[in-house]
Amino acid sequence: MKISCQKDQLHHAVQTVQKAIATKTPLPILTGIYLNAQGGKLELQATDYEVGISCTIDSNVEEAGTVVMSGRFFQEVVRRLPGDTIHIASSQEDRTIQITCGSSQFNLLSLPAEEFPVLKPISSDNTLTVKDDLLRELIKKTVFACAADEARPIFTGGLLEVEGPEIRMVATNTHRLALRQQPLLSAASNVKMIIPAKILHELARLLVAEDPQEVTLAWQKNQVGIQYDDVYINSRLIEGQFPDYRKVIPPSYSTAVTIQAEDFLDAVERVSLLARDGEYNVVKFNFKQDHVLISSNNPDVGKACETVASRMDGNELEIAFNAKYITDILKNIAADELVFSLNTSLSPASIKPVNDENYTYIITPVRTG
Amino acid sequence: MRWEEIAGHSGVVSMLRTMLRSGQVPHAVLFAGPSGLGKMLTARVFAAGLLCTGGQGEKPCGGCAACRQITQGTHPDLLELASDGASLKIDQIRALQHEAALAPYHGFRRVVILEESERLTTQAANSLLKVLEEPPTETVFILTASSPHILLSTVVSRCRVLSFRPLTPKVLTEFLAAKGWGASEATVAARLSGGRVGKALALLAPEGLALRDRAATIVAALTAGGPEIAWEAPAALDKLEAKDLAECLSHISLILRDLFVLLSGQEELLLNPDLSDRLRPMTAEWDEERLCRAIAAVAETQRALGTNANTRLACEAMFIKLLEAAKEGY
Repeated sequence: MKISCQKDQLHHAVQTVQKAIATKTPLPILTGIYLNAQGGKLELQATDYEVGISCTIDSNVEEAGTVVMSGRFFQEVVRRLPGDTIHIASSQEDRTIQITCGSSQFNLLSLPAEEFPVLKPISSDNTLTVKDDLLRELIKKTVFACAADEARPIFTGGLLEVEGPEIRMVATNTHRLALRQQPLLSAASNVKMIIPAKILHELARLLVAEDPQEVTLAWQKNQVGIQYDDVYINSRLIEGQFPDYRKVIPPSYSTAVTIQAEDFLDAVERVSLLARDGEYNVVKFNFKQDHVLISSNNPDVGKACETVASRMDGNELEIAFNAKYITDILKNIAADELVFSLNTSLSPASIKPVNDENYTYIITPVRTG
Repeated sequence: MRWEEIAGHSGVVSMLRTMLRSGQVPHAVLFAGPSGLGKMLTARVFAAGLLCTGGQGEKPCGGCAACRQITQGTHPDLLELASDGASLKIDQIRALQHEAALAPYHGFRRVVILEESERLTTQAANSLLKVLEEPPTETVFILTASSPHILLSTVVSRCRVLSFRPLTPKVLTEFLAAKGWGASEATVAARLSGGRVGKALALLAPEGLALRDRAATIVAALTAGGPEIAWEAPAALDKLEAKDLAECLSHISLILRDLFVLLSGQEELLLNPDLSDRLRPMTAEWDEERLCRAIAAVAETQRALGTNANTRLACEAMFIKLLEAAKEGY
């Protein structure tokens, strides 16, 4: 293989695939980045068997071929090379790959390219095309609610659901649930799949192009392939049946409180400073007619309380929540005002942006005293 | 990866082949038996059979992509967990749970092999229990254990237990001969290994018999040399690793046994037939009662070293007793 390409393009490609490089693996080949040069294009791939990412860039191919080299070192080297044009050439004799740029030269040992499990794009009729900003919105508004604990693996991913004219993403850790839905512009077949949170985070990180673009998802029983621009991501899905989240959402509420989101977030964060040591990070909310009294009490440290102005429709109520579950949603709500809807001090409550029926966040209270 | 590669264990092998043929595979099997019997090899062949994609015939076929990947250790749906240091840790089981939650890479089945599963820490075993109780669809667990009684009974009760027994010297000798070893070497290795293939192959490796020869020298020195051996030999043995020391002691014991066998004139029972010419002259120095005392002294030391005895002191005590036995009235 012998090629040359632009440094910033190669850097972009390496950054794109690097999250899929395996770190802890018994298979050395998976710690490598796979390069495939052919017909004016250079394709980079990395996979840890859980997720595989491929990125294709333009390059000047003098001699086609494939090589695999240490992902960690290639990434570092590309990032720090001086100059604009990078030349990469492989040598069969001593099994090294020469990387030159400006006056700098590296010879990296190559890994056996024939052992690399090359990504095979999913050929399936089950496809769905969405705008990248829509997908990013779905992910960003929900994925934070996933469980981190592997003991219940089904909750370590987000449920992507297409049903009729709507696309939805749901994430929960059984104490809180986030649901974001959007109408679909084009018709698509119904589907439900649970995508690991790790891949969703990665996807949200990658989908940041300035120009809007189309993202195509294709899936089969055990995996999903995501194609956009010059990138292809292949991920295995989490197996199992996602519980019926609709049952968790209360049909009606007896109290609705409207609060300024930013003020509320600041106040909760301040008050929770003293709650952080506690087991459940408990902060109490006392909803009054024209304000909310937020308080925390940590016997070992001290007390805190703060009031935030609000408008109430319904009965006064005292309720306690894990402060993290409140601040998480407030950081992601992206609205000036929110509606906090409640029933009793022991039943689930909901937080929604004002006038947005497409975003729902359900949170279960903490029993106190 | 073929069933033919496994030496002996015909009962277990035929049971596993029946499972594969009928498609009725339990979600967890436990291979129990001393180390070196070929449990891991059997586990890998069984895993290959479960993951094999080659046509209609007997599985594993040994030729399809899946079988080749298993031989190379690169199959994405075969997970092998071995102890990290002295134990199988909870982090490894958590990683396994994460992996088990995902759909299999090739989509139809996944096999998890837990090597030496008795090394699971209690926490790890309890964590594993959760996956074993509610196994993800199409996942087969293969646990191997040389001391299954150490495993949590709750783990064992969730597995189909298949016991591996030592091979008869005849089967093992034939297997080794088929692998290209000379008849005499194969016989010695087969007899000394106690029916364990792995052990036999280790004995056949270069320097594999070094500890045995060292033991033979020590036994010879008991009668031929002076009393200084009681101080010199323990100092040397103390430098060995615990595993090697245990093996050396067991060789001393087996050589003393062989002397006993020669005394009673039953040469065909020798475990070290290649040493018979060296051992025969020594029999003049021993009688059966004193050999019994010597063997008992070694056994007692083995027991002591199995607990927390000081290696050097225990060995010195043993050599004093051995010398007493070797030189009547010493």
